Amino acid sequence: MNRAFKYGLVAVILILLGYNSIYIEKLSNVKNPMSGKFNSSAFAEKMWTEKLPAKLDSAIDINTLRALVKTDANSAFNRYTHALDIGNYRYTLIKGEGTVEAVNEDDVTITIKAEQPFEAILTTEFVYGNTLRDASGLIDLRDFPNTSDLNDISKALNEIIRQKVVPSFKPYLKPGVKIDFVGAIELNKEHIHFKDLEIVPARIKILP
Amino acid sequence: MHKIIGQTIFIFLACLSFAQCGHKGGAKKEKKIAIVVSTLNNPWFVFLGEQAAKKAKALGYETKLFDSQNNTSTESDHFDNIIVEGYDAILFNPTDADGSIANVKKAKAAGIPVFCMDREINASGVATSQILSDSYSGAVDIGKYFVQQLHKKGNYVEILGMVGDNNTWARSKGFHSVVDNYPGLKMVAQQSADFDRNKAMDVMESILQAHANIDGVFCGNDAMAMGAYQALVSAGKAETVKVFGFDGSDDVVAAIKEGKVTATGMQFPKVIAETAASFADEYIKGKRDLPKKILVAVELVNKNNIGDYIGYGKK
Repeated sequence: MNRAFKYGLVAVILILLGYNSIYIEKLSNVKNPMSGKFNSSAFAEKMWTEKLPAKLDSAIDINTLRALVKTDANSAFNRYTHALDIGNYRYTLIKGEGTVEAVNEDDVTITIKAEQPFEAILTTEFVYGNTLRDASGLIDLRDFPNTSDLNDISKALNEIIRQKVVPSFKPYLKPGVKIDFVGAIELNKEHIHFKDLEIVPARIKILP
Repeated sequence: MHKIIGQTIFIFLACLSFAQCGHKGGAKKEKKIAIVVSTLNNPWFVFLGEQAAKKAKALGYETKLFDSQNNTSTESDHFDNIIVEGYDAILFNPTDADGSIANVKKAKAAGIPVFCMDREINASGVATSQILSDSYSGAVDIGKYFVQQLHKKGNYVEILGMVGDNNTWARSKGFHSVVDNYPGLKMVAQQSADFDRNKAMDVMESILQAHANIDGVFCGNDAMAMGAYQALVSAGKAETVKVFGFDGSDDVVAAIKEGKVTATGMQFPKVIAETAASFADEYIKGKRDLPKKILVAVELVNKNNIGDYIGYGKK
């Protein structure tokens, strides 16, 4: 009995030692040292529901921006656009009214209501990059010394657009439908092209 | 008599000139900035180094350009010399994100600030500032255009740069963050060619022997894109395979114009180099609250906007 107890005790100790000597973790977690420290999805979700709505409400009218860029580009870029990087790309939130021209596989072509109406694209499939993140003006580079966290915020925000926003409006669009839109755009301040402007849709309302 | 007067004048002038030298050296010693570049075998880094030197000179510094030949030991020797020679700052393009840390630490211990250009080191609080291309975001844009150009389906090859360089992985991850969402796109080979044109040509030739049916090639820099393109020309596939690079070098900008290369990510080595030199100047003059890390946007260049660009920048 004593012998069985001894062996049993040794076995328990060995199992305990063995259990505490190894641990199993997903390789992707090991490869990414930041995983677990920053939850980009939760961060983006919170930004989307708590902080972004007010920013979307205060988006500049696309025609006002266009006119100001033509007359005083520096002032327009300084007042209304943001960017985390240094360089020529600038981002801003814009709003306007448009008429759907075509619903394509990857985007929607609209004509924006203006004195001289012009075409633009609502991106529905290829929503990638920093357009929405930087247009919001809500992110301060100094708060994120790790660039991978910054990239993940963009990815998570773009996921929200692709998975929640686009399905909420795209099935209801067809040529001739009028919409009210708020979205994010990228402008290259050295070479400003409003032709074929790509808009990341953040809020689309179908007008009666 | 004339001889004595001549000798006296000569000695007087010699003394005066020594005194002038002493006065100049003591009161106004010219400050020196060293520029250490990973390799001068790649025109992109030559341009980066030259632009850094040009800006530093314009700011009033004596400069010297060092070539590390993609070797951290050579880089280490350069740092030793720079420390001994008493340089005031180093504008540094690291060879290896991990392997170069020791060299930066060595300079820091000697009281010499280091400003990393384009390539990052994997340590915070060691370099005074790091001025880097936003490679990840640039590669996201290329990935998006890649998927659009290949219509979401086909076989492709990825040629990586140096595996020890963070830019290699930032570009690869940015590219895959888009492309991997499309199951119709299949990566048939992924190999490193060390950012080298000739190696990329060899790598591409080998890959083509195993995978004859490919539709696209994404290369981590423009030198490799040109190497891959040469291999495709030799295999008679240059017309059907789309090649994508990253850098914005002269030859790739020309190749995009000619329809040989599909797109590249335009980096701005002049902006990076000038920002690094300006930061060094500010630091030497006493400023201490410089940003630890700053990103420079990379722009997508393709047939639609090629008219806006020249090699290494904008028109």
